[in-house]
Amino acid sequence: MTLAETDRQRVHDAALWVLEHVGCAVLDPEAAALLAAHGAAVDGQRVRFGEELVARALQTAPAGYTVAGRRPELDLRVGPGAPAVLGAASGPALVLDGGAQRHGTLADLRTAIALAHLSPNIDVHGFSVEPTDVPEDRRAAVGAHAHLVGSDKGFRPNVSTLAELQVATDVCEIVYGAAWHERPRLWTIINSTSPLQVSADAAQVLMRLARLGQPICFAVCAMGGTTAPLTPAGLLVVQHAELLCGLVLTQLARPGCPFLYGGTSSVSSMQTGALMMGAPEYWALMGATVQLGHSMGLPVRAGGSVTDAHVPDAQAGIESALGLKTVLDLDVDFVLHAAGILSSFNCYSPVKFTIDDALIGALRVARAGIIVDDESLALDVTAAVGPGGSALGQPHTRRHARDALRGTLMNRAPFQTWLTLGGHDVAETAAARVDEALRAYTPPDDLDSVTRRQLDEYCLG
Amino acid sequence: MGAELYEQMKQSVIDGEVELAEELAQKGLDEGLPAVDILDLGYVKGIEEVGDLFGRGEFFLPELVQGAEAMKAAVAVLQPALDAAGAKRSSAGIAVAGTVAGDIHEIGKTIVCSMLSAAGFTVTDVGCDVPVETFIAKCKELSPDLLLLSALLTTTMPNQQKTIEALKAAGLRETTKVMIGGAPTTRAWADEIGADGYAEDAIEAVSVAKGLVGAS
Repeated sequence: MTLAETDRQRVHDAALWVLEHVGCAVLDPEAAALLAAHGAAVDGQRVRFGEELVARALQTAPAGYTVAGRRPELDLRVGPGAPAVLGAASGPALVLDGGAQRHGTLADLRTAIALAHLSPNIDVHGFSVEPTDVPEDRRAAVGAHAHLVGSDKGFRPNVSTLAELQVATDVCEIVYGAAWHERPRLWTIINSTSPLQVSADAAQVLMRLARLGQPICFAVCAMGGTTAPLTPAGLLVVQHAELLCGLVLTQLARPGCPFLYGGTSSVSSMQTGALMMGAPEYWALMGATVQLGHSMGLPVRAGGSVTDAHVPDAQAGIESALGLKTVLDLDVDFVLHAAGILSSFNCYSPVKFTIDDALIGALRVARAGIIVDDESLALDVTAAVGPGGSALGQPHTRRHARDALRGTLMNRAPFQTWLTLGGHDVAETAAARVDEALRAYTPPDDLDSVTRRQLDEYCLG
Repeated sequence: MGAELYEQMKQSVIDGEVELAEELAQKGLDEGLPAVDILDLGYVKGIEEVGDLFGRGEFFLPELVQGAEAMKAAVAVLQPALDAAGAKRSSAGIAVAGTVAGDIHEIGKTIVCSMLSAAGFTVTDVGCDVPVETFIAKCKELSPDLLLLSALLTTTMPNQQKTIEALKAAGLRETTKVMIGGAPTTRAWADEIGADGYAEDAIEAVSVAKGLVGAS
């Protein structure tokens, strides 16, 4: 545990103090009015409320929920007892192409969709890179089409504006029918704007999605030293206060609406101002985020395979692995950016995606622990081999020989063999895998022809 | 007497003491020191030292930002006297900076403003979610050498382009250099929309700004 119980309580109490005395700027009049109608003190855009509204919201917010998939077997459970739902990189405008960064294109997005679709580990994806070659007013629709045609996995549309939200709900109606919102269906992220602000668009999108019964993943990325105190405890207080504000607004818009408590806050470099997603403070902050959310009985989104490295190098591997492991070990419920992100959230890389995918697979094996039963104890093998013998000749060994075929991206060959095979590092091996994967990729064909035609007409017409 | 006071003024900027910087400026005026001298021999020396210390890696961002704040507070006290004397403050250049419409991300733009102030620019920060018309009105009012446009969302980046186009339509493009920045922006985007300068971070922004206005 990152926070001792007394310290966790102190952070929580401090956030309540902030909500009551400092307040949040809620920049949408309808949202501010909704909060005022339930007892919040509203002064212009500044909204202040006490513990009572938070306590009431916590009574109605569920501990878990199931997001409907395209087919029943693709439903995803978020909450206690379920494995973490993992999402691909999300939202960067840039892509790493060779050694250079450039703006993403629709072709890059299609590559990201194919890789996410093929991954055995990624459950949800959405705009792993922005298709900036598509005009801004067409991007949401064209991107939605690429996702829904390219993969049957959970889709996270962009909903940062009301126009984007409209596209998201329209395509849901086309694909799932008019009753699409009778179940949780949409994966979305709604961001606060730290410190202590909820933009007009964010508040409107939140209330509209909540009224449709769709899960609200409210995400805070406060930056210690710039948009919040530099010390992690103070940073956590700001993050927690913003999340409680989002929780209260969600539950007032629709009591019982699923709310995912989400934080990716970290500290800023005091030499450059840059947000540090690979800093050790980030791992501790993510651990505390999971604790704070779970302590209130809420499912939590935190962490990711995030790094400040610009290329898939050793720094990227170290920071991604430790960031991801921290939250998985604490039974986090949802991880966005679980694969493919570089440059402190700013850049997508297919090669990084492939390495992270292998990392997730490896962490899953490690987390599964050791099965202890008669077959795995294999006392007959040890008895038969005896002192000084070899297990290689045993049928048991043959039977299990392929159990450990994991992490094949990683080198396991001795030095000379590795050199003879080209002496590739893991990024080079991953680059080759990307090409192989894209050659092997075929999109799903589960959309009926009428749905497909409607989707084509709406998104591309 | 003046020399000691100028030294205190300089030190107040180095220490980032906003209230002290204000008090010392008023004290200097009360003692009859010329406003221009107070500025040039006191506060400007301080901000130059802050800039040097930051450049050498000895000062970090909070020291730089607080130094710029102290400087700004002192200039506000001195401004009426500077205006009365008809003195034109020596400046590396006049800059107007803001975050474009639809975008309330401020911190990066604010850091750039502080850095430019510390580098000797006269900076007007017009805030965030700034409509194109406000940028144009400020440019008409202040005739800046530089207009700096920040965008942190892919959905608001097009407003950088719209502002540049409006600047052209207003006949101000020839006299105003435009710089853009923000996480989703790139040098290629700057070229595409016809901006004069692009910087990845606030440190680079200062050198690009100096290059654009021809300051050393």
